[in-house]
Amino acid sequence: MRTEIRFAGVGGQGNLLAGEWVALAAHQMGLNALQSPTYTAQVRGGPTSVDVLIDKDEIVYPRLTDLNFFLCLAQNAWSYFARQLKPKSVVVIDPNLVTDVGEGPQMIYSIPIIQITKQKVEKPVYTSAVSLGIFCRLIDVIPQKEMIRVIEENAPSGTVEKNLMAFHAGWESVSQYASVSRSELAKKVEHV
Amino acid sequence: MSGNTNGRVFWAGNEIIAEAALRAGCNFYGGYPITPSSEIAAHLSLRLPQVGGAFIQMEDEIAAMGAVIGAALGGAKALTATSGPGFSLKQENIGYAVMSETPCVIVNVQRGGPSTGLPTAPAQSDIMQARWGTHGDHSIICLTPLYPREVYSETVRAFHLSEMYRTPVIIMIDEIIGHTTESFAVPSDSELAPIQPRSWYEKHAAQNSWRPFHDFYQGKHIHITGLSHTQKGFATTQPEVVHASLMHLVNKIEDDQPKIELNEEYMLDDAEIAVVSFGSPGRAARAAIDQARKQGIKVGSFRLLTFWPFPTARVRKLVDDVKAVIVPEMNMGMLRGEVERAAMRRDVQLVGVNRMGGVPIEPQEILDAIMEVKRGL
Repeated sequence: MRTEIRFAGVGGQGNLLAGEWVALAAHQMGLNALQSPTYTAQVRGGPTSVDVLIDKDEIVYPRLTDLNFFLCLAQNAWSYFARQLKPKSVVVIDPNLVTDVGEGPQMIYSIPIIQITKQKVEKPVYTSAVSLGIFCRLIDVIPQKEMIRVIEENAPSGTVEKNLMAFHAGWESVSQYASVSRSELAKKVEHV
Repeated sequence: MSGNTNGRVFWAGNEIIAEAALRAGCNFYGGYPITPSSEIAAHLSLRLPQVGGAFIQMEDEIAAMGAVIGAALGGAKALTATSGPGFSLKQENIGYAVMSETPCVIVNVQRGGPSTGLPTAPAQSDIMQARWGTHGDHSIICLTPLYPREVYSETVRAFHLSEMYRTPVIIMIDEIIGHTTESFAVPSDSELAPIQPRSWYEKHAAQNSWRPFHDFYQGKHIHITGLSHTQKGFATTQPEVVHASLMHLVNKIEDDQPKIELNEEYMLDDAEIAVVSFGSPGRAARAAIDQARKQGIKVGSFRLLTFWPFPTARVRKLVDDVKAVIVPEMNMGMLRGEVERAAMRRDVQLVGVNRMGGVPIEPQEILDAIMEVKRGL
């Protein structure tokens, strides 16, 4: 079955890396994987996203049409990339970075990802691994051990341990933050 | 670039071109970085020194093309890669390579234009420039692969064709193909065009009364010029000689068009509607056709892997076999114009699905066009 995944944010947050590792994990499991980044000429600071497609069968159309998972870490990226959502898409935002989600039928996990990264592993550079933990827990396509293997094999030397801490912090965070309806989040913005 | 799993790799299009070029024996890259092609240069700057080749970043795109021609005349299999603005700058020297019959490969990872245009977003609006960008009568070979395996095999074939016909060969992909990383199996030797040293092509040249060709520094005095020249390489203005040499430049490629032509045909046997495409929209077309077929609509796909020389005869036959042709492309109708030319006023409905602006054509847009055409049949 075709699974469509998008990590979005601003350049420098490591979103592209998160997508690359998800796709690589799928590839190493023998699945067909495809990954394409979108970024403007100014990669650092501008809105970026990475789209990942995973399928047992051949991937014909290489772009996303019905998102299964969307994680967003910047308001301007939300405006650019909160497209191709379907009612059952699993959506994750960092509420400190994405404040206006607009109306929609989706349920949204509002998880302070950057704050968690800073608390658990000190440096925000590990944000991508926290995002991966959240993704792995919420979407049943890459088993935890496969994701961990990719992190171990690809994290720069000296950072494996911290990346794994971050991954587990992301995984655990899912049980602490229940999803809320998008409309409810939208109403909060109106009150502010 | 990573993840070799049971012969399957996980590479982006630009990396595929770089690796396939090495497989084909490329030992020189001269370039100037420009997005969305820069990964080809970046990758080869690392890899060429590992295999005893040379990588040089020149001061600009013009010089880069000059370096490629010089290297090729010295015996190297030479490559450069660029995008729209750089492709414009290279045109004069591409003409020099055409005129001096210098084998080399040029990749254009297309982005939106004109001018600086739309960096890092896809377009297909340089396809006419590939044919007519440099001045003067000539022919050119231009390949338009799409899927990773094709990008690989067509890059290898580009080097083969460039040596075979002693001509620049242009590979036209776009930002989507260049930047999409995907699982695929690297083709085996038997699935690829011949990978041979230049000396192997000399025999073929002799059989076809090609001009004598000797590399620099191999003991012979040679003369290369962009002026109209005799078979010995010296300038001439003799009308018969100039005429014959231009006919040679055009006909060496056009006469062999059927041998060079490569297309992908999908579900065309019983089709009454054909979707004709090249490059990225080809995948959206296939997705749309699969959906339309489920609804019983007889539609198929014809996708060009060799855009130039254009497969005129095949497209004319296709037009005879169907009632309508839909042409999706990320420009304002360059392929559609060629299809119209090939159709020679035949009674066929010709519909364009055109998208500029840097976002790809979606399957739904092509499906909508199919449905609308079907209603009118």
